[in-house]
Amino acid sequence: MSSAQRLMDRNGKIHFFSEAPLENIEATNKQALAALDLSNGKIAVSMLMKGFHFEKSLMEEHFNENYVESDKYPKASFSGQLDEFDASALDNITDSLQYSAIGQLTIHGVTNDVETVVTFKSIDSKISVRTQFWVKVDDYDVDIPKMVISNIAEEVLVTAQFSFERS
Amino acid sequence: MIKYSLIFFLGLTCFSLIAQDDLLSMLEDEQEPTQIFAESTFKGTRIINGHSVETRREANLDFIISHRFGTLNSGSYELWGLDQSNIRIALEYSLTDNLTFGAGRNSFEKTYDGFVKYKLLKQQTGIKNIPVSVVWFSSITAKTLHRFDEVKTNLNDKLAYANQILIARKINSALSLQVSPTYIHYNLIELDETSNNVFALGIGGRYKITNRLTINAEYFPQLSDKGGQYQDAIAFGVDIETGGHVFQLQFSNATAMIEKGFVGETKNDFFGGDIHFGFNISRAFQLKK
Repeated sequence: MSSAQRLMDRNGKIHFFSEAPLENIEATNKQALAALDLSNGKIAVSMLMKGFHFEKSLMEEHFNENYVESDKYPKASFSGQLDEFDASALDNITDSLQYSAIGQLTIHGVTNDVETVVTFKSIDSKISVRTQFWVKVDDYDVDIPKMVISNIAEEVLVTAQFSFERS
Repeated sequence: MIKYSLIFFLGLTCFSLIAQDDLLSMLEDEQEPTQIFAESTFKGTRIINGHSVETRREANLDFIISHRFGTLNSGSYELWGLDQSNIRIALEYSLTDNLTFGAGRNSFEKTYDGFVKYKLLKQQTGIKNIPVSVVWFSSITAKTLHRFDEVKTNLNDKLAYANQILIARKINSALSLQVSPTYIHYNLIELDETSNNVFALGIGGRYKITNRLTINAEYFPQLSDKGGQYQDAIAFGVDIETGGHVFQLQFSNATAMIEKGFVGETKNDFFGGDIHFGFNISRAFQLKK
């Protein structure tokens, strides 16, 4: 188990988007940490909630203060397993390679099982990894008051993009 | 020798097993220590009448409409003050995260105001620890209401200046406290007034009831009195936040909504029931990314 079998990205991008009647809600975190263990196909992602940046600064403040309570729950994380992962397949990706993944997603101190499909691509010396899934806000005890419920969509589309240097 | 090798080997295996099972905790250890800033010490840029240490972030334009109605003890004929109202309309633009300029027009005494607010220190923990946020505030105001007597005044006579150092600490996520030492200079004072200068100590705070609702209180005891007819400003209020708006409702003995007015020229007696109901509504616009 040498560390060479672990690939790591310190600048992973996590983006979420939700279309709402009044204004779209969208933020990006460009400092997510991600690791992939080539020996067993385990994946882990960790990020700081305050690393999410919005176009509207007041929206960012309210996101941290009122919705995800970043002071109380500073991090979100994912810990999962790629199904039937074979590290040697990464060495000769022709177009793209897909694995299904299952794992636990923790946001706002609440953990739920998540299933998603992860796409691997080979770009120069790097392996690019991308996945997309829906998160129901309600599943993570994020409280949206009735007064503003029409402003905020109840489901958000999460896109994660990582780039690993080949070891 | 073999024994030692075995222990070494077992140790290594154990270590790698733990490490392998806990890819996530390995990752969390990689997280670099971050500086944590105290965000949202107050919901609004005002505690009630006076400025809070909050400044909006770069390129944010706040459009603020504030109302103060007549006094509650004016009776049913005046609908407990709702028939009268004075209003301040203002635009406040944040050039950077730390620097805000604002300009407003007050219907009370037809006064124009302009201010600058600069964040000198931000409360933070981490590599560097700063226990309080400190903000400098200065304003200039021009009262353009025509005089009812024969005294001729020029522009200079109409001006007053307010200067404050706002010092606040977010003690925990619910409680924030602020002191606001204040100095005001009036270029022209009336015959029954004693001094062109007023020193006051503002004290204010907020307590968070829910994530979107806080109760606020504020008191501006004057350390020097401009004249016997004046009272210290007292105010109680709530902040309600709904998405991109902050809605502030308050009860105060102050009629004016700017420092030179509510700190030094409040005439109403709070405990005599001369209390104005009022509100501030702000809408934020992000002018660029």
